[in-house]
Amino acid sequence: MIRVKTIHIEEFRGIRDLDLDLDTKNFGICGPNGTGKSGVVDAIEFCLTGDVTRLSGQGTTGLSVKTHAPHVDQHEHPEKANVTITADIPSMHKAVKIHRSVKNPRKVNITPVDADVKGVVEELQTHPEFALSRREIVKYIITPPGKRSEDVQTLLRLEHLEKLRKSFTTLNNKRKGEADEAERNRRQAETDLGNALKIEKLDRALVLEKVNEKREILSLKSLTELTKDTSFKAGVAAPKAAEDKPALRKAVALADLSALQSAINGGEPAVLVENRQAAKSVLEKLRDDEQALTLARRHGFIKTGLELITEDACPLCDKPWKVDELREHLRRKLLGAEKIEQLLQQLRANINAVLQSLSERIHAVEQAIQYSQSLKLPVQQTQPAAYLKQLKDAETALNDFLKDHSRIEPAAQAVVRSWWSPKADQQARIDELHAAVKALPDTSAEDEARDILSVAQDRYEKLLRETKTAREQKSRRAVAQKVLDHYNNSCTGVLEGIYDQVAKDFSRFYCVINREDEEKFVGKLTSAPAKLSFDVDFYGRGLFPPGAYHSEGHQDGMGFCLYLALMKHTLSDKFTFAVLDDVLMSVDAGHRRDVCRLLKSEFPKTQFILTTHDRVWLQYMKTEGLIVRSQSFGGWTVDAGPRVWDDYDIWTEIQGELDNDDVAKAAWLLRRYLEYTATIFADNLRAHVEFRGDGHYDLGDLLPQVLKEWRKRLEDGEKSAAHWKRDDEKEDIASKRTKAKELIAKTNAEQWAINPSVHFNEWANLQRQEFQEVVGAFKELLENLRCENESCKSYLYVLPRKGKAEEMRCNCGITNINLKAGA
Amino acid sequence: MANKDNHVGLSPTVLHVVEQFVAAMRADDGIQGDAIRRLEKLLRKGAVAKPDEINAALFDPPPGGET
Repeated sequence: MIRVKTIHIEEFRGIRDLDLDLDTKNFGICGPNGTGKSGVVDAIEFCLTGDVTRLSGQGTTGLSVKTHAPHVDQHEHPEKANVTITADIPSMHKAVKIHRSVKNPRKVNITPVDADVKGVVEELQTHPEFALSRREIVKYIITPPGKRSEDVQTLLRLEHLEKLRKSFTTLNNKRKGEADEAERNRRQAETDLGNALKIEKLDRALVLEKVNEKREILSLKSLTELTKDTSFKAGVAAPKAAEDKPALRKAVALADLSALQSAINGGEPAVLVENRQAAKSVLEKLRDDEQALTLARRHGFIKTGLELITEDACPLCDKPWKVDELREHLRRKLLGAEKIEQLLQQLRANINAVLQSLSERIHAVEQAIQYSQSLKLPVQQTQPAAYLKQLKDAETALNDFLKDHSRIEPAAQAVVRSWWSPKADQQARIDELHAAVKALPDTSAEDEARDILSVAQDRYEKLLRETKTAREQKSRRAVAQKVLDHYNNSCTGVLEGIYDQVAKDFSRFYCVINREDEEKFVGKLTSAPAKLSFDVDFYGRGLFPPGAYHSEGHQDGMGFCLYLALMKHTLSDKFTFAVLDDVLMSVDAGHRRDVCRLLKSEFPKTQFILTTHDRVWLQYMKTEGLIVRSQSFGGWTVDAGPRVWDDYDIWTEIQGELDNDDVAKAAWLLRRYLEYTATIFADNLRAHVEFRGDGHYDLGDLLPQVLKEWRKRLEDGEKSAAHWKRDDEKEDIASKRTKAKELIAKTNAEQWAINPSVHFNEWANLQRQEFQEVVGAFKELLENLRCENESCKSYLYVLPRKGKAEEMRCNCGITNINLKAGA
Repeated sequence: MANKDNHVGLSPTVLHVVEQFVAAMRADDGIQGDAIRRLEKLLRKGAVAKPDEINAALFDPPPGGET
């Protein structure tokens, strides 16, 4: 992945011409709604992927990148809408320039032309989730398990694994089908050889015995073993050319026809009757109970529907339902559908057994018709052909049903009546054929023996071939099954490990941003086929879906933490870049410092581009050291795009107003900023502020109490250092306390309640120079509350958050004032 | 050994599964080493392997040995 250095945007969305200098650092973009912040996010996404989710995702019918990504004045000139990003690729120590024009969104220009660099950019295209908006957060949290599974699997690139699993499964099914077919062919070849030698059940010794009987007639040496090279005909004189392959060999034909007659006369085997009746019963049930088949077809649909129910209405048609009743209704249907699925499995087994017998009978009838055609005075073939058609129709109907379960009727017809016994006229033709063959002039015993040996030899060789094929297919089927099993086991093992680790990271991240109120929080991801359940602890009362009891703010926090945990596992060291579009707005003020700390400590190698519409939040990110550079947007117009301030800083803006002699505006800005920071200080220092039921505290409520607390904490620190005889430390704190006292005095804040003329409400009435001094005093005072380490500069805070105060420290740990003065 | 560099586009998760999968096949005497090598090479190519491609890797070695 990359770290962005600069972004140049031309005529894209609401932006006319904009340059941003990120210098590969975390970067903040701030501005009120509608000032072009998200245009920057869209531009980054477009440049790196060629797409803009806002124009191509859900609910964007009628929108397109090519037409709507350019600035509205250039919507007919997509060639004028361009984005260029320069970036570093840390893993390669290379720099890259990426340029894309809306005119041809699929074409990206990469400089330098380097296969490795190109690979990195291509990889970015496959990870559009580097950009996350607030509305996308919820998809990880309150989404149904089936959809979450899809989203998470997409993020983790698991769809590749699922597609691969389908490939292995398809291959396995194909191999199974081929192995079954090969085995059927082998059995048929076995039956054919048995028929030729008049053996009911094939056995090596019996085959040799029967073959040797014939050879003895021909005065040939007996065979002693049956191998793949054995020739039943060894020593038999070669026939004359004209008789090379006689059309009909009476003995063999008689044997085959006798086998057919015998099978028909023996009646339908009990096993076949059972399978046919069982298939008939289920097929009729499916035919008569349309709902049953519908349930079978809608099994997956009902499951999804069940997961989508979140309120008192049908998720599909919005018809009002009580949520519990609707769930119960669908559960009943689901149970029915699962039962039907089991029934279908049994039905498939029954039909396969019927198909096996059908296949054998078709072969026998085809042989009979072939014999019939070979007779000099042919027997009428119409009836056997009709019987053959009936058999083949039944075979087709059953095979069709196996492919498409909606084709019930023909399949039911195929098993409702037995096809085992042909109709009387068909049977009569078969009898007639049998008689005709029987009536053929007898051949000599020698000729008959020669014929039988010849046919048996052919059928033996076929049996050998079919056996070899069946063995190979069986072996391949076994390998395909093993491969599928190994693949499924590997997937399950790896995914369970990943889900466990993601859940652990998620829980840890969430604890970091909510450590005060949910220190022992745990989250659990449970994987089941095609769904991923997600349950979280609710204050030790058990595990529940996130939407069950947690507030929306907490749910947003969870979504954010789950996103980070997933990204960490998806990209690992490659997670060097993320764009969070107003994502942190959902975090309440009390948890912002923790969020900043989480991003800084857990993702030090990731460049975050953060947008917010809250300028104070932006300032806070700066003071916490999360971002170094930023850009503020404001005053957007359709003609000019966003108005931009370089590297926004509240003090710069206040100074700007003073330079314009607008003391009132400068006073307003200072007050607004101090109100916000005073809230943070009150929280950090655990100041004693008079409680207000409406939660609205003005600067007068907060700042005097904060400053009083600040001096007291420093005093406690000084006493503690003296107690533990840490003289240097005592001296440092004393010095800081003296400085604090001096600065507080300069701000007059402690005098606000006593002297109305110095109250902040009067700031707007001050002269520019007078207010300049006030600004300077507060700026210096706020510095006094920070860590002095330039790379930290965080505001000090008291730990623990409740109970007896033990220490006052900064984020980096360099400033750590012990507040305990003995046991 | 398959060329492990030839897997642009495969996520770490997929690569991890492929590694575990190949190790499991290697521990199975019922699957030939050559077939495993061909299949591993195919799986690391990046695109999802099709059933016919898997079939060829497992059962139909190219004439003249592995490519």
